[in-house]
Amino acid sequence: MSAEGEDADEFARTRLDSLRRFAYLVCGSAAEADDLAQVAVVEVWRRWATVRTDPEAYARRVIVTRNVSRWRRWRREVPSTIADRDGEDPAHRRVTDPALWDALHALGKPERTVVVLHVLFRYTFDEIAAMSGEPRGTVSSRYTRALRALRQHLRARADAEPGHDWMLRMTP
Amino acid sequence: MTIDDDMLARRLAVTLAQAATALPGAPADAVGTVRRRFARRRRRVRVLTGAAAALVALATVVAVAGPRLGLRTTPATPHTGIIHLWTLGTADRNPGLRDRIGAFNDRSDVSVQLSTFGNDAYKRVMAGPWPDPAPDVYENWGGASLTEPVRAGHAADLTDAVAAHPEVADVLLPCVLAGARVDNLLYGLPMTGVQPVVLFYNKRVFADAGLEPPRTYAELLTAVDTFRDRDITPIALGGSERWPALMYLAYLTDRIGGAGVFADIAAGRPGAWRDPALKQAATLVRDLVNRGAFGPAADVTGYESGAASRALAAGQAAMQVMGSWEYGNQLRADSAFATRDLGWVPFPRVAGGIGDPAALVGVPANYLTVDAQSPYRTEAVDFLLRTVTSDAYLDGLLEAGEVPAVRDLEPRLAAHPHADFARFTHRLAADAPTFTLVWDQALPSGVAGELLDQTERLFRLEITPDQFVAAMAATR
Repeated sequence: MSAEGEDADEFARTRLDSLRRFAYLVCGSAAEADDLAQVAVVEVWRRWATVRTDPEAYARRVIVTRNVSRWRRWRREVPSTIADRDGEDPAHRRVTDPALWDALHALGKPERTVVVLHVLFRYTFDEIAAMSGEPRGTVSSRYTRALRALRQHLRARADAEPGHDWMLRMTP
Repeated sequence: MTIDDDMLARRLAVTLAQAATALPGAPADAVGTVRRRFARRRRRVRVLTGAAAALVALATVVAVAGPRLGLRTTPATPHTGIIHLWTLGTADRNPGLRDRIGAFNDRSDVSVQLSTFGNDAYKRVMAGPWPDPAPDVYENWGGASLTEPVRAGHAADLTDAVAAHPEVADVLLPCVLAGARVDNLLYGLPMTGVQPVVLFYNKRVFADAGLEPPRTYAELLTAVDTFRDRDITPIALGGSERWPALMYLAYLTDRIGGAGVFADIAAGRPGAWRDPALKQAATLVRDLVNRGAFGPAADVTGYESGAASRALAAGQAAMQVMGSWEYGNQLRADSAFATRDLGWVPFPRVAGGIGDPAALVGVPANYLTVDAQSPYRTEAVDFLLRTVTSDAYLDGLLEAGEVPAVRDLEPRLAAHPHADFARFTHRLAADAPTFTLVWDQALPSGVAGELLDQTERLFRLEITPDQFVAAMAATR
């Protein structure tokens, strides 16, 4: 294998798990995360000469755009929450706040993506806009809308299941 | 942003970090699967449109791979509780950490569960009121990031526990352990390698100029003049980020007045900023700027963008004062340069200074600290003691390119690919009487912000050394 081929292979070997985790948070489904991460590595390999300086950034972009475009195409045919959440979700019993993880599933993929990218990965709205090819204003209002939706969801759940004081503070 | 939005965002960050670590690892032959898809993709692209290919790929995965790869169930564990361990994502580069977590969980009633965060997300989650949900064990940088949890009752005193375990206490470097002491009590154990700030230089550029790397401040000035006259930027300074400039002040103050000067500042002692050593250091900094040491564009050259490092590698700059992580950056950017023409020496001595020339500035280590209020405090301390000096953990650090903070490293360096630099870094740390944390991390964030502002103004010659001292003295 050429030195270049070795670098590309090394990228896949060392970063696949990180990409899978990134994709899992962005899309919310373990099975789909495996697929998105694989697609991303394939796309990185296809363009290795141009993306080799920062392959991970390119891979993340593939995951983000592919996840949203699939959702837009498929949601008319398959209710995504059912398709995605069929089977066990590894995070549900692992996180301290399962209610919050569940609330994320109620968001549309574009909203979920902005929340994940901004809150955990600390991308700025400008960076997210560049990643998804949308205006910054679209991204920032989407974030505001997503937080409002999450708060409504949590508020409704807190009313139904007492004992979660912090959720009650989530006045929509 | 409202307080509720901020609280929600912090909670979300924690939930997402925990969720990411819940995903089981990829199957053993995952890369092989990608290779086969790559080959198929190349064939298919000739006959199908891209969109159709994606649909086929997805359908295949949902039908075939979904149930097999992602939805495996894990048997219920007999564990009665969870020790939440929070670290930066960089901890994942050390395979020894997961190894030790696995070993601990096999024999303990409570299991350690790791969640990792990016740098910025972690700072946000840990800033302000104590996070909720909270970690039982958390990574910190020492300095203010440790003092604040200590004052808030969220750091367990490890002094006696460590003293009772010579296999830990006697193995770790004292000057690194000192970075986790507050009021003489120990609140953390080092989980990363040592990262001293040193002077890197381009060997080829120095050879062309017939110069040896500077060991004293006077030699540094000679080198500055020589390179300036040869139209080479003497010192690459990533001035656009501000923190690299602070390293000069920190080292010069240490060399001139000793480590006690900044120790007093960090402890908030009255009048500490007025120590004459600080003003002298600020004066030397101004002289360097006036001499053209940093070239004409220091305040627009970035470090994090790689520009300052590229200038050094390309020979457009001759020197760079930077943390030892610079070696890894150079290695990734241009391994031929890093292994052949990149040189390094300790930060120069200053004639007449009372500071020990072997004293270090940098990042002694990142530490793991146990929350004093954790219900699993005893178990968490036990985990720490069994982990940070274990062979698996220390060898994993070396494998990740770090230099563990242990006294005796040589036996572990035998097969190390970058033993020269690791040996140099380790010797510096092993011989250092003191290891001062970089100032912007040692100080509370408000004071650090003011210090970065005033340092930037000093480097731009907008204020005098006296004004610099007065501005900093006013912060307390």
